[in-house]
Amino acid sequence: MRLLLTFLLLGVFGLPMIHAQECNEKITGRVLSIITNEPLSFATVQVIGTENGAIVGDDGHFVINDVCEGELDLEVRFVGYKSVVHHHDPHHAEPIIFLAPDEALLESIVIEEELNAHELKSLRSKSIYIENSESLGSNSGEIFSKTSGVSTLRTGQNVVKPMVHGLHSNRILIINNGVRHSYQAWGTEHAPEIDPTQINRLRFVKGASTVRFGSDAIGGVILFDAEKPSYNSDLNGSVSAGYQTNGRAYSMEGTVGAGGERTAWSLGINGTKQGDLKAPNYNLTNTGKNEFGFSGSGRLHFSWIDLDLYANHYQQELGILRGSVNGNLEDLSNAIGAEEPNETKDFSYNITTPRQETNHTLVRLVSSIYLGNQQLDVQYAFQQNDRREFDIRRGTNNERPAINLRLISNSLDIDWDHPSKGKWVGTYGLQMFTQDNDNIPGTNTIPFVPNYNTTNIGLFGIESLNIGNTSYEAGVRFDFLNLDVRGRDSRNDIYRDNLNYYNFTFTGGIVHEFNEMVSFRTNIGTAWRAPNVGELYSFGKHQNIIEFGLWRYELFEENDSISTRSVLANDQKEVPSERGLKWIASLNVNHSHVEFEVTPYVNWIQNYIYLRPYGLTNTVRGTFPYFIHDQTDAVYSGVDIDIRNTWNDLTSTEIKASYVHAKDVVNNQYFLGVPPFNVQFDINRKIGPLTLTVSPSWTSRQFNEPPVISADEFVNAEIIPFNQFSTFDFLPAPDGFFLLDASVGYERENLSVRIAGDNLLNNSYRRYTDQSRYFSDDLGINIKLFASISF
Amino acid sequence: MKIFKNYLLLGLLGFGLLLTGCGDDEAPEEENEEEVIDLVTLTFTPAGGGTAIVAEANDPDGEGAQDFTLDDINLAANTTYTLALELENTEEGESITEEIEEEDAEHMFFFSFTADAFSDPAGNGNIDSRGDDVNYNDLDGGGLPVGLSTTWTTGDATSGGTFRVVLKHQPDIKTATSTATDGESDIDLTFTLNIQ
Repeated sequence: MRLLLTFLLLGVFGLPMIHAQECNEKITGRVLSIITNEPLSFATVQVIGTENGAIVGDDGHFVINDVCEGELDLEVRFVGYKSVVHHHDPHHAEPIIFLAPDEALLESIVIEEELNAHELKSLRSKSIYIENSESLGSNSGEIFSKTSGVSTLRTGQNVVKPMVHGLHSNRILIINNGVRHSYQAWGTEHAPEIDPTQINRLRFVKGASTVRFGSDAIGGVILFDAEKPSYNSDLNGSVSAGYQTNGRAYSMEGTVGAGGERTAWSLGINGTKQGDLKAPNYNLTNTGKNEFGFSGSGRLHFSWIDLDLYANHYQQELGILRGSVNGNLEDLSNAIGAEEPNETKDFSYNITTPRQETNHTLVRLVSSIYLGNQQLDVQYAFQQNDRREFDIRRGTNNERPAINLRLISNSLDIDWDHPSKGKWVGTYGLQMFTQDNDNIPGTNTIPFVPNYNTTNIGLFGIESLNIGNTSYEAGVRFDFLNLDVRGRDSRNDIYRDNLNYYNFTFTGGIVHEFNEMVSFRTNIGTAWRAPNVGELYSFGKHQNIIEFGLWRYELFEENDSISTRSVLANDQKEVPSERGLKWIASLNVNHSHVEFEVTPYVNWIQNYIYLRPYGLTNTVRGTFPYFIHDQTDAVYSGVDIDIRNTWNDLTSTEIKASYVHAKDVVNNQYFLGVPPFNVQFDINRKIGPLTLTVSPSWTSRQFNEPPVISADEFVNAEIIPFNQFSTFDFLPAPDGFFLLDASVGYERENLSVRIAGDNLLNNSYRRYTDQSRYFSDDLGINIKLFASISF
Repeated sequence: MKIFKNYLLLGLLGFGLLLTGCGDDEAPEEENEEEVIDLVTLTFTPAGGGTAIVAEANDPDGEGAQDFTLDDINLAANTTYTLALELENTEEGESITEEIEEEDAEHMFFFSFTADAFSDPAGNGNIDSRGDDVNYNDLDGGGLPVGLSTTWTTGDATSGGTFRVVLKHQPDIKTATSTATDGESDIDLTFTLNIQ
């Protein structure tokens, strides 16, 4: 605690640390090609202003000896590649320098390892870099699913949520530039409001890493960072434009930035307009979208402190398929049976109801303070998330949102890397997080979820011990979470509750390098999350069903009846936190040109909250099945496989496959909406200045599905056609499908052009994890054009 | 040094309060619930005068798990009636009928009944086939039927028949040929029909 205070004071009063000049240090790092990731042996690295330098070895490593302590500039050169100057300081050891060929649009970049990555090594994953040509006009969920083990939960094409190992929403965490993305995660049709052009570096933590990141990280964590402005760079920028034939969508993006010795900044702006999309055989009416985002970023560097400011605003207007809305079961039956979705019209850019309008603003300031062999990071972030959902309603209500929520979040994270003591390295941290959610009045309907405030304080410590080729690590965390809710019941009477949750979580892992080629890592960790407001308080019709939250119904076993009259509290019906225990292992073989990784896992989740059907209710609108939120125990297990093969300088291939098996182990049944087996094959080949990629993929049918009871069976039912403990689906899982995507890219000096095609065979298919699958096929062929000029 | 520790704790606590300070404990404002229809009244007024016959569908808990209650419709044989439909949200004291009158170009009632229970309209109503006879008394601005008021002439006595009323919300969908399967169902009620 005393050390922590010292650092805080130093941060406030700005006392720089003074180092004595000694010249017996050494700098090590690596130099790789940004295109192939292969080592660039014989590249030169020189300390500017001296004769001191080194030549890169066969494995890409270099060592410069007899370097004076303190900061200096390194110049990296290699024939045929753009040379780069890297400002080196001892707090960022082991720089990885990626050189770009002279003819490439990409600039050479340097990745600095943190003194201590604050991360669990036994869970660490590879970074993926996303180019603008892939992200512009796309959506974040689609980009996240570029790795094995991550799939998507969709409501049509515009609302795409990431799923990690079959889990989504409140069971995974999205860390946006170091900040927990705070949004209305309880809704399966609420996609994270993330500007896809801001996703530059993407990482995944597939194990339970609550200890490091806090509650909700039961399935895993998705981390991404925007591109950081570089120091020592002249004024530079780019203008990009994209067009997609499907939806006649056009996108624009502009960026500008510059960097001096100690400061760097960048600004960016982007927008997309998309009209109605098209399945192979019909239009998807009302599936247009409008998106607009801007961002700014600034850095300040001194030898003992780095300051990093990042701000992003992103707004979206997302159309939802008109034919996916229906009234009662008979309407649902009609909609499911329809040849083409109901109310299909000619192409238009108009977006009517149903639609979602969202705004998300993030402002984040992080300061890293270095003190010899210790580091202190202090991060503050503010987020505002507005969500308005418009349903098809009578009269003037059609222009009023049925859901209108504003969520304000503040967070403060303090991480301290203690000085390594012998073979011990460790990070300790304090995380404070608050959310304030308010219903904005004027919806003319009783709010579906209450107003709520969340206050979370977490304390954690992680230590790792390195002995030879093996690292052992262990961590522990304590969380306090307070949830304060104020809502209105169906009679418009106010209900209130105030809930406290206390949870300890643990993690332990081993990383072992058998030799230079084979490494193994394994981790076991616990995770938890509090029930969300949707699971506790939802009441009434939502999409095609009526649902009741855990505290909106009471079951009376004596006469097998249910009452939904009153709103319960925890002392009447205890709703414990969901608790997960996840084991994950990863074997990595890196033999000459082949990289192979296999990752099996088992995730056991206690008090797993799910929806189960309970009965049928007759309302004036007709008959509906109704569902209750309940708790059970679930096991999600599976395996991800990734094989990369670099055949030669010009050709590489990659195979990614994922399988997940999920079961309710109490009632011995399958859950709805678990992603089916998927395998993707990528072939990359360079032909002169062109880069050609062909990506066939196969998604199987989901065979582990709950039983099917069609909407027709309900319409004509005399008795309830389901068992109250077994979930069901209105339609069987769709057939497996094959997709063929391909792209050609051209890069020369400051021009980049890319033509890509999705679903080139124009196959009709439906995804099991898309809630629109009951009503329409997925997208038909889409040709995407992209061009970018940089200066 | 202990004093530093206290300052640190105070500082953190202060920041914690700052974070939570902007929180409030307001409940959501009371909303005028305009979605739920919990009372539908069918009033059959005999053409020659006399006591009107009233049947109600009543769903006091709206979207709750309890079923609604439905009255039987008991009409006299060989009599002409004017049927007036009224829809209400009793919880809010809101008349949904008025909204439908204002938005009549987006709404249409469809009917079906035991075949030949009525001498006029004959047949079994227009839910299965839009072209079948129903005697609408009201038209929207575009000259299309609405159905808040309809005319019925009963046939001979029967009991245990059915009388189904469906109100469809058809924004930009309602045409001379749109049917009971287009748009969303605002109400869908099946009453027992007795003709004495």
